[in-house]
Amino acid sequence: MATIVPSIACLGVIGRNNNPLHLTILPSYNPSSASAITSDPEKQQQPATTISASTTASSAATGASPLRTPLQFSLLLSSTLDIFELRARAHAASGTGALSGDLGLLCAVDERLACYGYETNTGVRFVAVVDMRGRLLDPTLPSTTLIHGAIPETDRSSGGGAGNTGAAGGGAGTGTGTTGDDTSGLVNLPSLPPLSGIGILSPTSSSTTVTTSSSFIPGTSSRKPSLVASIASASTGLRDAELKPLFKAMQTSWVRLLQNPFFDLDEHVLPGGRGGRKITSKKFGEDMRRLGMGWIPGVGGFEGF
Amino acid sequence: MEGYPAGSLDHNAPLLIASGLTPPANTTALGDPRLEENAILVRSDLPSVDGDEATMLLQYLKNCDASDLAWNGRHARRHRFRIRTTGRTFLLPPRRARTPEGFSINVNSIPQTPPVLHSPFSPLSPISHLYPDGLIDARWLQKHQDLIPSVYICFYSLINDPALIKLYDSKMKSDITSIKNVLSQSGYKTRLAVVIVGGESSTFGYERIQERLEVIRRGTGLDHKTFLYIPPQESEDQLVAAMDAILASLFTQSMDYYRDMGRHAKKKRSRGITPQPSVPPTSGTSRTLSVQAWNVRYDIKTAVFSEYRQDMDAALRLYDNAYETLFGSDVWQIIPSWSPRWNEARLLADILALRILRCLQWLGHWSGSVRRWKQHRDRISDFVDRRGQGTENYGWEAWQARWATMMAELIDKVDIIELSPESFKLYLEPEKALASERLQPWDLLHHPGYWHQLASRHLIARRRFARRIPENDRKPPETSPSTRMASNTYAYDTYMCPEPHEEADADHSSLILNALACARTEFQLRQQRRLSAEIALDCANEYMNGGNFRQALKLLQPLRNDMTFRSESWWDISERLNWMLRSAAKKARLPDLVVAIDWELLNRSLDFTRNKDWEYDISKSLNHVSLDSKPHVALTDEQVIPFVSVSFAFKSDVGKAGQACPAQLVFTSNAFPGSAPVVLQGVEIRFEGSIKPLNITHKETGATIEERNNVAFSATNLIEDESLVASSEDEEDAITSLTGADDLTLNPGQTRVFEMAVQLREPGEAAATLLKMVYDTDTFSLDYSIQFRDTSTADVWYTPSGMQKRLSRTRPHLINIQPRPPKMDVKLVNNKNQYYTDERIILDIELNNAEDADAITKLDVQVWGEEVPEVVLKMGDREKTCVPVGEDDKTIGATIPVGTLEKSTVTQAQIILGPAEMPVEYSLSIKAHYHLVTDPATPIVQDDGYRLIIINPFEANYELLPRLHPDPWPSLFDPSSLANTADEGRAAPCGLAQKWLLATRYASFATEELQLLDLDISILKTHGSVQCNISKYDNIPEGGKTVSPRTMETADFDVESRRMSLDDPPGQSSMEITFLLKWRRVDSSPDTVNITSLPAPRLFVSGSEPRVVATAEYKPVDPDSVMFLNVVIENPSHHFLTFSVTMDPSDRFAFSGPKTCSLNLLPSSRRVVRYRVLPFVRGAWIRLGLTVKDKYFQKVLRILPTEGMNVDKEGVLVWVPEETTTADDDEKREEKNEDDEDDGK
Repeated sequence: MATIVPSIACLGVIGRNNNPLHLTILPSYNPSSASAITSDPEKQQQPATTISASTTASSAATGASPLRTPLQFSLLLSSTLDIFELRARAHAASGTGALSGDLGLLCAVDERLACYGYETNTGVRFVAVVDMRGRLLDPTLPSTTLIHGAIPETDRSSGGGAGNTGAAGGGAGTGTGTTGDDTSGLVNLPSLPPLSGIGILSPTSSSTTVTTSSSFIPGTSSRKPSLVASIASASTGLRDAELKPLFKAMQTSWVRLLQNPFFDLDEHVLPGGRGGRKITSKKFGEDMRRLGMGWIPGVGGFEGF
Repeated sequence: MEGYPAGSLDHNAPLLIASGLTPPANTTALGDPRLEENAILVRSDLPSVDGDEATMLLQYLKNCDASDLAWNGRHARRHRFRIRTTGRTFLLPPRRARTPEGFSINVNSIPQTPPVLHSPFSPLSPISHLYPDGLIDARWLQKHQDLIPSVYICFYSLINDPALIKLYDSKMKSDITSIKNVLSQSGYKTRLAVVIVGGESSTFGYERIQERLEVIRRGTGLDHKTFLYIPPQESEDQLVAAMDAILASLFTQSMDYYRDMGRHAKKKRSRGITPQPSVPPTSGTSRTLSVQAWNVRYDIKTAVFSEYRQDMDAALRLYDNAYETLFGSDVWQIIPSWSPRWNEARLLADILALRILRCLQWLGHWSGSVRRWKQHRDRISDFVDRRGQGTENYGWEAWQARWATMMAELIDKVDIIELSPESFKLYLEPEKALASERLQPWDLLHHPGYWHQLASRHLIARRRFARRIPENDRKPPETSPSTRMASNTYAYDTYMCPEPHEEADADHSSLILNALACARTEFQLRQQRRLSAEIALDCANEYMNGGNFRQALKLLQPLRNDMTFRSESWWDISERLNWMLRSAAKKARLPDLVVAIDWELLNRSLDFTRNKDWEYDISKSLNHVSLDSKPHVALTDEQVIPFVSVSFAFKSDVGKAGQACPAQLVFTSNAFPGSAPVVLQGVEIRFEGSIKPLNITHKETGATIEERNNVAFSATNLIEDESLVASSEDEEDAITSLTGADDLTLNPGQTRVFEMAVQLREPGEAAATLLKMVYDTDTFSLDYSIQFRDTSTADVWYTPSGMQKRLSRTRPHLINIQPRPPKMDVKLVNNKNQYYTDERIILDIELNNAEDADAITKLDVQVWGEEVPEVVLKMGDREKTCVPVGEDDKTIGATIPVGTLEKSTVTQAQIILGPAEMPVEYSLSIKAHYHLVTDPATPIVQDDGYRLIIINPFEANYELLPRLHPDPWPSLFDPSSLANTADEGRAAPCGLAQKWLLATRYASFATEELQLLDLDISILKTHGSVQCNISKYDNIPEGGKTVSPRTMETADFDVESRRMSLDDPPGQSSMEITFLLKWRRVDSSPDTVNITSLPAPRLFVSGSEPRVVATAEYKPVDPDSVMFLNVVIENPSHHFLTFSVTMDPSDRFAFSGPKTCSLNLLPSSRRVVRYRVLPFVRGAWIRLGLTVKDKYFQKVLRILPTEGMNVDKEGVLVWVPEETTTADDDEKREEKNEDDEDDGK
C-alpha cells in the first residue's frame, strides 16, 4: 500500500529587490513516465542546462530527481514575483484590511506543481513549490517512512491521477466509479484512503490504524496520530494553512541568518533596487533543505524552528 | 475546439426561422443532397415585407442572434434565439428516410412487411452515416440547431389600397393556411407564428385593421399568441421594443417545443426496446446498437433539448448518464478498436465531457469542472491504455494538448467575470460545495494562460514521440504496400491526428508556438510579465529550432533590453537568454549584440556556468560572423553588465589647486578563469568639474607585471597634453587632457591598480563621471562606458604591496579642490599711521615672490569709497590711472602687468592718491594675479585689503573782538577827510572805519607733530559796502613751527573795516573768511606744502548801531601813576544821539573825570570821555561802575572792552597789572594815550 503525498520540490527566498537569495531544489518521487513533464530534451541541449541534464541522468537510476531543471525552477520562482505584485496591486485596489504575510496558494503550475508564497514585512519573500505527487509513502518499509523517490518504479503516474479521479468524481457529485468494472483500470481506487478517513483516524477510535502507524516513525511517537491523519488526507489535496509551519520555520531560519554578525544584508540587497549576491551560508542552505525534506502536510512545527 | 464536427460542442439555442423579410428568392439549403431529395418545402406566394420596417426588423433579428453569445446564463434579453432568416421558401429535412434501394429486390426471398421508415439521421436508416451501429453524430445536433426551427415566423405586410384589400386578405389567409398544413403534415412540431407589419396609423384605420386581422386569424385558426401585429411605429426603438416583446412571448412557446421534444426522447428511452433498422445490416459486423447504446442516444437527445431550454442541471445529469453508460460495459467496450466506430465513440466521449464541463461552468462549479476535466482525461487514458494504442505515442499527447486547449477555450467562451484580467485573479476560489474539501491546487480553476501553457507542454511531448517514429513508418502508405499491409492502424493512435507519415513531417513548431502565443497573451493581459517572458523564451527557443532567427530576436531583444532579470539578479535566466540571443544574433549578423553578450558572458561573478564548448576570448567574438565591414560597437553599463568592475578613487577628498592628488583606477576582472586576457586599447576617464579628461593608452611593456595578493599595481605617469590646443584663445584652457600609457592587459580574476597623480588645476568640486574602455581587434572595435555612480564605487585604496585600505568616504571618486595657497607676498610698506586731508598720499606696495619659481604677475588695485580722488598706480616708470570699474562709480581700479618676477625677488609699486578735500574713508584692495612659469595652468591669486581713513589735521575756532580804530573818523564838516584819495583810479574807501581783532584758536588733530609753515586768513567775500583788511600774521619763525598734536595755539589778526563812503546808508556788513594753514609733515621734503583751509563762520563788522568802546592806558612804572580810561562812543548812524555817562565811585580805585555827564553826538561822529583812575590794588581786576545810556531810548549801552579789559554782567573790568612793565612800554603807552585823548577832544 503505497500512498503518494505532496512534498516540497523547491524552496526559494527572494529578496526585497526581487532578487533571488536562495534556491533549494529537492528531489521528487519520479516515475520515469513523469519525465514528460520534467523537461523536453531541446532545452537540455543548451549549454546552460548541462548540469541539470546530468542530474536527471544520474537520478534516473534511483527514481528520485528534481522535477525540473534549476533553470526552470528559477523561472518558476521569478514568475511568482508577478503574483506577489498582482496581489499587492489587488490589495491596493480593494484597500481593505491588512495584507497578511501569508499569501497562500500563488498559482498552480500544472497538476503536480503549485507555488505557495509568504512575504515578510521587510519585503523578503519565501516561495515553496509543492509537488503534489512528490513523495511515495510506503508503510511496507518501516525503516524509511518517507521516501523521496527511493522506491523503484511501482506504478505509472496514472495511478496518482486515478486517485484524483475518484476524488474529483465524488466532488462533482456525479456518481463516478459506479461501474464496478474490474477492467476499468482504476486499480488504485480502493487502495486510497477514503475521504472521510480524516475524521476516523483519531488516536482513540481505530486502534488498528494506530498500531500500523506505530511502525511508521519510530521515536516520534508524540506526533504519530496527527501524522497518520495528515498522510491519510494528503493525497486528496492541500490547504494553504498546511504550509504555514513551513513558512514560519523558514522565517525563523532567515531571522537566525540575519542575526549572524557576519551576514551583511546590504551585499544581497543592494541599494538602488538592484539585486545582490545569493546567500552563501551553508547553515541556511542546510536549514532549507531540512525544512523541505521534513515538511509533511498537516504536521505543525519543525524541531528546532 | 477545432477538429470536432461543426456544432457538436456549441451551446444549443432555440432555432427561429424568420421568413418574409428578405427577398423571396433567398432560401436555405439542407447541405446534404440525400436530404434534399425528399425535403419538405414550406413556401408562401405573397411578396416579402419590404421598406424601412423590414430592414430595421432584419437588423434587429441579426443583432439578437444568440449564436455567438458567451456560454453562460448572463443574458440581457428575455429570449435567446438562434435566428435565421429566409425568403418566402424554406426547406425542411424529410421526416422519414425514403425506402432503401434494393429493398424490392429481396422482397421475394424474405416475405416481410414493408420496412419501417426512420428519420434519415437515425442509425436505423440505411442512408444515415450511422447505419447500422453508430451511436449519434453531429448531424443530429445540426438537424435541430440549423434545420428544424422551433418557431417559424412568417412576416406579412398589410396593404391599404381599398380596392385590393379583400383579395389580398383572402390570399394571405390561404397562404397561412397552406403553410400551416405543410408544417403539420411534415411531422415536425414547429410552431408557426404570423407577424403582420404595417397598415394605417390612424385610430379609425386601426379599428378597421383590427377587424381585418380578426377575420384572417379566425380563417387560419391561429390563436392570439401566434398571430401578431406590429402597427406602424414612430421610431425604431418602439419597433424594436414591439419585436422584442413578440420574441419573448415566442420564446416560451419555443421552450414548450423543446420540452415536448425532450419528453418524446425520454419516452422512447423508457420503452427499453431496441428499435430495428429499416433494413437489417448486411455489411461489416452486421451489428446493431444495443439497448445501452440506445440509452446513450436518448440521454444525449434529452440532454441537448434541456440545454436548449437552458436547464443546465438536467442537461448535466443526462450528459453524465450518457457519459457513464458510454463507458459502461455494453457500449464502447464492445466496439472493436480497429473499427472507425471506436474513434467515433471516443469523439462522443469528448463531446459529452466538454458539454458536461460547460454545464458545470454554466452553473459556477469551477473546481468541479477542473476535476471533471481531469477525470475525463484519466478515464480516456485508462481506456486507451487498455483498449486502444496506449498512451506512449504522439496521438495521446496530441489529444492531451487538445484537451487542455479545449479547457482554455471553454473558459474563454464561458467568459467568467471573476477571472477577467481586471479582477487581479489568476484562479478562482472553489465553489461552496467544494470549499471545505482538501483540493489539489490545480483544482482551482486557473485562467486560460495556464491551460494553453499546459497544451504547449503536451505538444512538445507529442513532437518528441513524432521524432521517434521509425523510418519505415514515415513512408506514405501508397509507396510501400508492404507497410500498408503491416497496418499502422494498430501501432499508432491516429485519433484526431495525422497518420504517422504525415505526423513525422508535421509542423509541430507552429502548433507549439500557437499555444505559447495564446498563453503569453493571457499572461500579458494579467500583467504576469515574468511569466510571459518565460513563455517568450520558450517561443524563441522554438523559433531558433525552426531556424527563424529574426522572430527569435524579436522576442528576445526586448527581454534583454528590459534588464529585469539582470537587474534583479536572476543570473541563470539571463544567462540562458544570453546564450539563445547570442546564437540568434550570430545567425542574424548583429555584431553589436554578439559582442555585448560575449562581454557579459565573460563574467564569472554572476553565477554564470562555464560553457565548455565556447572559447572565452572576446577578441574572437565575431570570428564566425561574416560581416562586410568592421563594426564599431558602443555599449554602456546600463545595457550590459560588465565583467570588469571599475572604480576610481582619489586618495583624499580634499586637494589643492596646483598640487597633484594621488588617484587610483582599479579594474577587477571577473572573467572566467582561463579566458583570454583582455587587452584594452585605451581608457578614458571623464570628470565633472575642473579636471580635464584622463586618457591612458595601452603600451606594450614586455615585462610581466608583478602581482601580490592577485593585485597588480602599477604607477602610471600622466602628462598634460597641450598638443591638442587648436585655436584656444584663453590660455587657461590650454590643457585638454591628461595622458598616460601603461600596460592595459586584464587577466581573468586579476585586479589591476593604476595609481596616478592627477594634477589639480582649478579650484572647485570635481568628480569622475564616466569611464570609457576602448577595445579594438581586427574584427571589431568596442567602446564600453561605465558611469561612476555614488553607489557603485569601491571604497578601497590599494598599496603597492597589494594591501587594501578602506576609504571611509561615501563618494571616493569625488574631490574638492581648494585654491592653491599663494606664496607671493603683497603688502603695503612704509605707510603712515594716519593720512590727512589736503596731502598727496603715496602708498608703497611691495611684491615679494616667495614661490619656488618665477612668476608671471599682474598687479591689480582697486579703490572704493565716496568721492575717490584720482588714483595712479605706478610701477617703475609705468603709470596707470585708475578708471571706474564695476557698476557703481564708487570703485575705481587699474591693473598693471608686473612681468616675470623672479623667485625670491622683491619689486615695488606705488599707489598715488590725490589730496582729499575732506575727511573720508577709502577701501583698498591689492591683488597679485600670477602663475608660475613651471605651472602655467594654475592661476594663483594673492590679495590684500586695507582701509584708508583720512582726517583733517587741524581744527580752529574764531572770535572777533572790537578794537578802537586809531584814525580819526572823517567828518562831514571836514571836506578833506571826505576826499576820495584815489589811487590809480580805484575808489579808496573813505567811510567810517572800525577796527577788530580776529582771535583764532587752532589745534592740531594729527597724531604726530606737524610743521606749520604759515597761517593766513583769506577773505572770501564781504557783504555790505565795506572793505576789510586783515593783517598778515608774522609770528611764525622761518622754517616753520612745530605743532604738537592736541595743543591749542592762537593767532590774532587785526581786522580793519572801512565803509566805502560816509554817505552809505548805515547797515550791517559782514565778511566770509577761511583760515589757511600751510603745513607739512616733519619728515617730508622741504618743498612740500600742504594747505589746509578751514572755513570760518560769517563775521559781522561795521554795524549801524552806536557802540561804546572803552580803552585803558596804564603805565605802571610809577607806583603812583594813574590809569587813563577812555570811553569812546561811536555813532555811525545818521541820527543825532544823546547819551548820558555815569561813573560810580568805588573803594578800589579813585578817579577823576565827569561823574555824570551828558554827551551829544552828531551823526557819523564819535566822542571820548576820559577818566583818570588811580587803582588801589595791583595785579587785580577792578570793576568800573561806568554806565552809558542812550537818553532818548533810555537804553543802557553795552560797553565793549578792549585790550586789558573785560566785561561781565555787572560791568567793565580793568586789569591792573603788577609793576613789571619796562620803561619803553610805558613810554609807548603814554604816547598812545595822549593821542587818544586828543581824538576824544
